[in-house]
Amino acid sequence: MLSPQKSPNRKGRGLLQFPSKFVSTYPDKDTDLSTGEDGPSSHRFYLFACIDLAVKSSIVSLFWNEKKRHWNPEYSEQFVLQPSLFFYILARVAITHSYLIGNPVVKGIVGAGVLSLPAGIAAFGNAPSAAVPAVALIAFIGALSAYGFGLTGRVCAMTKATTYRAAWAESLGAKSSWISAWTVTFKTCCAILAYSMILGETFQSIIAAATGNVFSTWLVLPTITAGVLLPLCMLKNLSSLAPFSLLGSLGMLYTAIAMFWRYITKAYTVSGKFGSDLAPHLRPAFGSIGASGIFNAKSAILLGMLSTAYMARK
Amino acid sequence: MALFVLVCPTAVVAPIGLRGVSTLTCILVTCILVTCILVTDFNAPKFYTELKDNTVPRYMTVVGTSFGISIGLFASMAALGFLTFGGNSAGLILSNYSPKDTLMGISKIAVALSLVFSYPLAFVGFRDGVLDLLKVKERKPALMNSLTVGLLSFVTLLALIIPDVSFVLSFAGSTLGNALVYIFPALMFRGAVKKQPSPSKLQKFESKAVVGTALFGLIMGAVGAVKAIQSIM
Repeated sequence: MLSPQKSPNRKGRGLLQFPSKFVSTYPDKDTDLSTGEDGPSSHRFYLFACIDLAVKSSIVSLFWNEKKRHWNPEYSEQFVLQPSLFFYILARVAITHSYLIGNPVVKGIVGAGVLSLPAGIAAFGNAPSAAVPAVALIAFIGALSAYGFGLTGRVCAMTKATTYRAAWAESLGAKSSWISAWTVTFKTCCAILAYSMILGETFQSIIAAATGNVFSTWLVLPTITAGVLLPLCMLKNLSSLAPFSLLGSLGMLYTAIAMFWRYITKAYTVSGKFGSDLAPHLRPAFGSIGASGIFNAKSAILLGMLSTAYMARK
Repeated sequence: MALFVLVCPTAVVAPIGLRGVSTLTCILVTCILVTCILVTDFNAPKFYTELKDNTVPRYMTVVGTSFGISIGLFASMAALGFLTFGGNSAGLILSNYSPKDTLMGISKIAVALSLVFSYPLAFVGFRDGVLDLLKVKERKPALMNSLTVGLLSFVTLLALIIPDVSFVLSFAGSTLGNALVYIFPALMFRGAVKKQPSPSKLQKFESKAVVGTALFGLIMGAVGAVKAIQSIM
């Protein structure tokens, strides 16, 4: 359990030595962040030391690559591929792992559309048969999305266009092509804005778990942005990130397999291996509203989730 | 308060560089996109253009396979999560699993990884969009670096000063997202068929049928917009 009493000794270390006005005391033990069991304090110290060391070595690498003492964009890729940054990333992953596993209340940290879908089903039903129309709905909307994707490619084949805007211009006219350009740009802007907000919260929580102090997002987010995101975004060729993206998707596949295993082994039933570990509001609960619940107005919640690009903080 | 976020690694294709890639690689990358979000339509031109031996049948095979895999993953994860926890399924289903459950704990790392490494990919999509709007043709390194710093600072500042943009995100997402997936492709297809010198009967029929998907997109957008408005009332 994290303890505010342990935190002052660890406040501000090396590069992460912040003015005290940015540091608030860690929430008391009744708050969400501290409800989980955390590792021993030495473990947190080790992790924090890792991240600190890695940040330092990354910055040293940056200056190493900044030959002739001026910023040369040609070296940005070399910088990011430095082993030290790799180590930094691994350290961050380790901390994330430590925090996420140690804390049962992961809400407010990260989320992914697919991981919210069970709640979408639960919004309109609570009996197992409610999964049947939900699966049908997911498949139907997915198929329509695939059709739309295919349609766009076919338009490109007909018009010889190579971009979305060009496809619009060739099929509907150049004058109105600004509609598609603005839509795509605004949509991606919304996406990265959401990313920034989530990353800010995520790292604020991770640092809190590691140090026992809650730093302001005004400090955390700019630090993460300047120290991690900016070098990555300045890469000329982001292909080096492709394996990591693929890893993330394979992780989803792993998650599906793990969920299947936990389901068939009944690990979360009352008599199951983890049945008594959870808070009452997280334990399995089944009722009598099954497939017929899809006709309930609340099924619109699932539809809303499947409604593409739907981002909502509830 | 649960957090629902559709992680959106938009415009992944451009930075990854799919030029001349094999069908299998293309399927894998499409799965990356589709698994994270079903809005990928504005990447479709790049997929088609950069697919090796890009013919419509090959392209449709890639699309069908990758969407099929992703839909299967979506459906199975949604069903398994619900069948395990029923009416108490949390907004982020991983929250339901015990912190002592190492098997599920590993998957949380995967989600965190996905988040960190998707950011630059999504950012490049935004930067390209801005360059497109500004009609910049010559992309010099100095300009790209300055723009990257500027846009990243702008977005970071927005994320800091705006306490809650959930309404804007959900409203714009449901309307614009649906427009990109269902409405725009349908309109473009109708326009393209009309400009064909001698469209086939099937193309003529399909150009009428796609109105249905556009209408569906309108309904989906309306549902999403209503949910967004309800969330602030």
